[in-house]
Amino acid sequence: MPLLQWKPSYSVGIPAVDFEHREMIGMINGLYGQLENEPDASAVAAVLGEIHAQISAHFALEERLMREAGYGEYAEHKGSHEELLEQIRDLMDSHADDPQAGGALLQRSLSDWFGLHFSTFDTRLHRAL
Amino acid sequence: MLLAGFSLLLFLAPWLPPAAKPPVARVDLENCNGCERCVDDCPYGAVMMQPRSDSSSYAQEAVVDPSLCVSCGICVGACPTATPFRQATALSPGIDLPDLSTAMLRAEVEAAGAILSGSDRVMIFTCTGSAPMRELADASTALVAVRCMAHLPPSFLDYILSRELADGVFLAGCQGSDCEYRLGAEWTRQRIGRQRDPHLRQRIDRRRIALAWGGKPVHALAAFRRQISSLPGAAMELMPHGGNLRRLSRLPLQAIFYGLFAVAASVFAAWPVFELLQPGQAVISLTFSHAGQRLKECRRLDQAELDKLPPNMRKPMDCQRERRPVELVFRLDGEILYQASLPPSGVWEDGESTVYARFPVNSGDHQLFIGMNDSGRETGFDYQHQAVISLAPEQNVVVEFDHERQTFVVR
Repeated sequence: MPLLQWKPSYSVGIPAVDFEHREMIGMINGLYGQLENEPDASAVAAVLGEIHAQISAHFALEERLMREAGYGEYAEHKGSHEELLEQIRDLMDSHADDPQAGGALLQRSLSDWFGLHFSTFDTRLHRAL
Repeated sequence: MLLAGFSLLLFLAPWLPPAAKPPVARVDLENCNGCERCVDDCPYGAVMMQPRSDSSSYAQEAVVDPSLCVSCGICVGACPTATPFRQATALSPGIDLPDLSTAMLRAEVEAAGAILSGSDRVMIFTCTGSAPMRELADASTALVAVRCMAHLPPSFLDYILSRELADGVFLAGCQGSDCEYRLGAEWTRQRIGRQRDPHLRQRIDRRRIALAWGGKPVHALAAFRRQISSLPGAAMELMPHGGNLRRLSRLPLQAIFYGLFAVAASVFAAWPVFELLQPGQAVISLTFSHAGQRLKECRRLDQAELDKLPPNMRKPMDCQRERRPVELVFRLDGEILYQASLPPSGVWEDGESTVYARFPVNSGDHQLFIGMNDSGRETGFDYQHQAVISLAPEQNVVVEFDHERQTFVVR
């Protein structure tokens, strides 16, 4: 049973954003499985680096769409993006420092903040667009 | 001949083939989601968005206009996928410089980090316009060259510091007319100051990053090194990159300079005192130029002497240029007011001798005498003038020499 599952309700109606959300769910599920089975620290770190890059690009695209749509809560949304990117980097470093404890933390945190990203901000953006 | 060749080259310059330029930035659609950050940051308007040319879910893609692109790499520094933390797939950002790729840059940074030693390891980044600073490299200092400072994605700073490849990152960029590209310093400052995408992550200790623009930052580097070596475990909170301290000390200095300027201005306003004429006085001015005679007479060259000279330099008269000084005596009522030997002017001492002298005298009648020698005679004068003048108060009388009539004029 994968950690996250794509639901039609997650759709924001923009193919590019939906596509990236699905891709990220896939990556996070992959990482989750990796952590469950054989947590090879360097492989996990590599996937984390990939997720970090993907999410950076995803946020960059979302921010552009928000600006184009004249989304009123842009500054707030942008701030939360930057905050989330800080958190991912913290997760990456804590995993690098202690792969055992870091791995457990990852499993909890990743799904948490990803769910948060979906439920609060992206749906609000969806309504705004 | 040389000059003619050079002129010809300049004349032909517009038709000469352009200097080889590095390959332009290349878009990798696999890694481009059309976020447009490269378009926002390109100082040359060389990147545009156009409808997607592949079958992906994205609407747009970045396209580089090769005729506008100068390969500065600023677009790479803006690309969110140009992050060295990517390790599962090849490090190929959405847009990249083919000849100085992000993957090459990461390899260079890692190689530099591997050989650095000590507790104050500094990685210096230089750009195309930076001053040469090869000699700064040593066991604890590595140099990495980027095209433009804004070519370096901020995530590299995070990477270097969090992976402890160095204890500090020193960005030694160009300044002003030394810069090869536009806006590099501005974008770098704004990205590090988190005012422009991509932001430098807040989690990074800003004191481990220094920016220096222009010249060879030897002192700034030394100060930065002291700062970072005192950082780990140090309870003392240092001021960020010493800037505040310098700014504070600037204020009193500025005040002192302004004060000195004001004092100097007031001194020169009151001194030296300008002497107005005393009541009832008039002025006599000696003001003219006269050329003394030549030291030696011109001499006609004979045929044998002429033959020795190159054809273009044969002229029948050989004249020495030097002139004698002009001796001048000016007397008023039998009293000598002015007596001088005026040297000829000019580097070759062949110019005119000039006098300018001004004498305030009482008004009324005066016996005036002026005598001048330009031939070096021992007694008597070559030119002299005697007159009785009547001066009204505040009258200005000028004594000149009339070259046409070879005589003095008083008016």
